[in-house]
Amino acid sequence: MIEVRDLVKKYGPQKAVDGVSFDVARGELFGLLGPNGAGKTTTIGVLSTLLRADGGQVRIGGHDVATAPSAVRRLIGVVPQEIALYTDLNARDNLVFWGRLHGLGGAALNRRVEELLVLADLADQARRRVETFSGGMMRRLNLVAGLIHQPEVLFLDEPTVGIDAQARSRILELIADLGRQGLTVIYTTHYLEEAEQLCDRIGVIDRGRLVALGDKESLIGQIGDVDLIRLAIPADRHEAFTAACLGWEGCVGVGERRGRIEVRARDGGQLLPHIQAWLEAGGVPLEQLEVERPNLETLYLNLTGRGLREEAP
Amino acid sequence: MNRQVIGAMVRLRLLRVVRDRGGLVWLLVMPMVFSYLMGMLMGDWSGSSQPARRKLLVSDLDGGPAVSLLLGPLRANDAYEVAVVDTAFTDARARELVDARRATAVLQVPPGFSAALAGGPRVDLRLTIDGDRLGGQAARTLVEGELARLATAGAAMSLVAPPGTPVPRDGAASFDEGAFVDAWESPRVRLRAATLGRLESEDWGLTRSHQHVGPSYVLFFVLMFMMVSAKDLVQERRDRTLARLVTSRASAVDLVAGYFLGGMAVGLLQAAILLVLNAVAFKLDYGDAPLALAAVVVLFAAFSSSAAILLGTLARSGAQADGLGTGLTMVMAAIGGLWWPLEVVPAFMQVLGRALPTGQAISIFHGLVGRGWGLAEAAPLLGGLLLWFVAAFTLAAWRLRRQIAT
Ligand SMILES: Nc1ncnc2c1ncn2[C@@H]1O[C@H](COP(=O)(O)OP(=O)(O)OP(=O)(O)O)[C@@H](O)[C@H]1O
Ligand SMILES: [Mg+2]
Repeated sequence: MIEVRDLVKKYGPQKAVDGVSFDVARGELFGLLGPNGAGKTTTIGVLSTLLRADGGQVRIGGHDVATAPSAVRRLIGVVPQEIALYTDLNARDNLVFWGRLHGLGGAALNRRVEELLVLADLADQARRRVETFSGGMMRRLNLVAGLIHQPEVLFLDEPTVGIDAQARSRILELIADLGRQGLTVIYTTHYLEEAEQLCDRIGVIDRGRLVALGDKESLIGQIGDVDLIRLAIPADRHEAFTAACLGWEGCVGVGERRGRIEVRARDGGQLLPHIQAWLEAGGVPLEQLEVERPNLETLYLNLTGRGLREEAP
Repeated sequence: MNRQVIGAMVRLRLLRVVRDRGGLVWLLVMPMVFSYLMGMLMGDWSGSSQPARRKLLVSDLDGGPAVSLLLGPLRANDAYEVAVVDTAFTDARARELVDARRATAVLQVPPGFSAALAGGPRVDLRLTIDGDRLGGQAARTLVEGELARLATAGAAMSLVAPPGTPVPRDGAASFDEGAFVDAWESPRVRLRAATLGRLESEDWGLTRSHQHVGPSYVLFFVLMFMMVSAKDLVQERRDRTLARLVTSRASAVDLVAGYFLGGMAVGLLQAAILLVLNAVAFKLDYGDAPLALAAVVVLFAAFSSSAAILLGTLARSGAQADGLGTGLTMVMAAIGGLWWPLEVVPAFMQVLGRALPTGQAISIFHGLVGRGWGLAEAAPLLGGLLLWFVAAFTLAAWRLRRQIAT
């Protein structure tokens, strides 16, 4: 359904998207996961014909976004990261407007608007001004507004930012429902749990590059069975520890983050006795120690060296 | 062009205006309040613009019989009231009197005028008029004509006989060539006409301040309401509703047309309602040229709508659009003569004012209301408005299309 090949998009000299390639099959829920400034919105912008690529090719439903944007626009629905609604109007007027803009009218338009109001669980709030809505209500209306013309592909750009957990889970349910109905969805987020919970396949994007791609299991497979051990010891002992650690059997790498040492090990259980022995021998006080089994977070750390919710540099 | 898309955008714009209660105050209520208050403050203008009789004020320092001869035809003319005083005026005082419309013309007759006509030392008379007022020009023609007759008679006498001696029967025989050349080269009396040096301050025909205030506040609030709506376009760009518009079925041309016609619809509706309210409340009559009236309203709304789109594409924030929109409207209103008539400002400011769309539109209204203009008289100013609209629209469409297609 969607083919992206070597996509490049520059803002001036800066490459916001730098050689990204992936495919999304019909009916698939694809997650684009990355921190702030990774290039998610830019990627969606090119895919939804809003931005012109500086390199590479994007085809949606067989149509090239650069040469046949209007054919693409008929297939896609776009839900921007912002609340792209006329908040001075009520929910119903908003949906009616977007419907008309897509060529709907008369009874068909009314029927579709009622359907979407029910879907967004806003049927009894339809005549309230959108600016009086809660964040979650706005987000739901923002989402269904992208569905008015029954698109085959839906682009969702961080549809859950800035709302509480409860409102978030309602939106996620809504999206899961759409996925079950056979809609092809590209979903961007910087919430790892959302991507894990919702998406069939995930692409991890960082600084404009796709650093990993696959379903959840295969992504974890990509880094192998590597555990993450975090320990806190006095800062003046970090260097000595690192030197020693790299010599032990099973150690894959040692790093430092937020004042703590992070050790990646093929098998954490095998490495722990070495660590303990070293600490006792040197009389080093241990303030904290934890072992983490592989998950997307450790994968992400491995790939980018940064946490998902950190600001881009 | 997709008619349904454009129609949807126009409906949306109107809906947003109607739903905004606070906005309606600025759309309709405030213009009428201003129209009422300012009309009342500026009061009745009939005194200044329609003098019952034209007054010729004469400062007669000569006192001789020639002055009566000179003023004869003016006294006989019903349109003129001639007042003679024997005090002297400075030139500045004479200008002041004409400028303040206390007199249509001021004639200063120096001592020795009668004697000069009879061959005595030369004198200059001075006539101060407003060169652009018909009454002033007519007075000048009358005075010049009479003076020419008197001077010819006096000169004829001096050619054949020295001053004071009886005219001989055979005049030709004693023709004094030296006296002829002298009279030819420097006539005994001359009329120096002084005008106020203003441009086009002819009677404008308005008799009540409402005739100016009504249309001018309609224009002002149409432009103002439109310009501050530029912030909506900035907002649409920021909250990505514009992106959503672009990814719909609307083409770039549809979007430009939708924004432009949406603004037009609001502006025309506002102007129509306000013009009718003014007509009813203040008994305004917009003349007998409905085509010219429609043309000025449509072109002004079209210019305003385009200018607002242009501003919306240039401003970086809503606050900036608001500030710039308000500021630009104020400046165009002040210089264009919406707050006070262009007729009262210095000549170069009048030229500047009439170069602006606001000045062009209000001047057309003055012509329609006060001088019975038709389409032909309004045509040059309508042409100016058209140019402004075309320029603003071209720039706006270009900017908007560029913003849509990043
Ligand atoms: N219009 C623009 N002009 C210049 N640079 C831009 C523009 N839009 C985005 N960028 C830059 O491109 C990079 C990618 O931005 P993008 O908005 O695609 O990131 P994102 O993954 O969507 O981030 P976020 O989670 O904050 O939405 C960033 O470094 C950003 O600063
Ligand atoms: Mg983004």
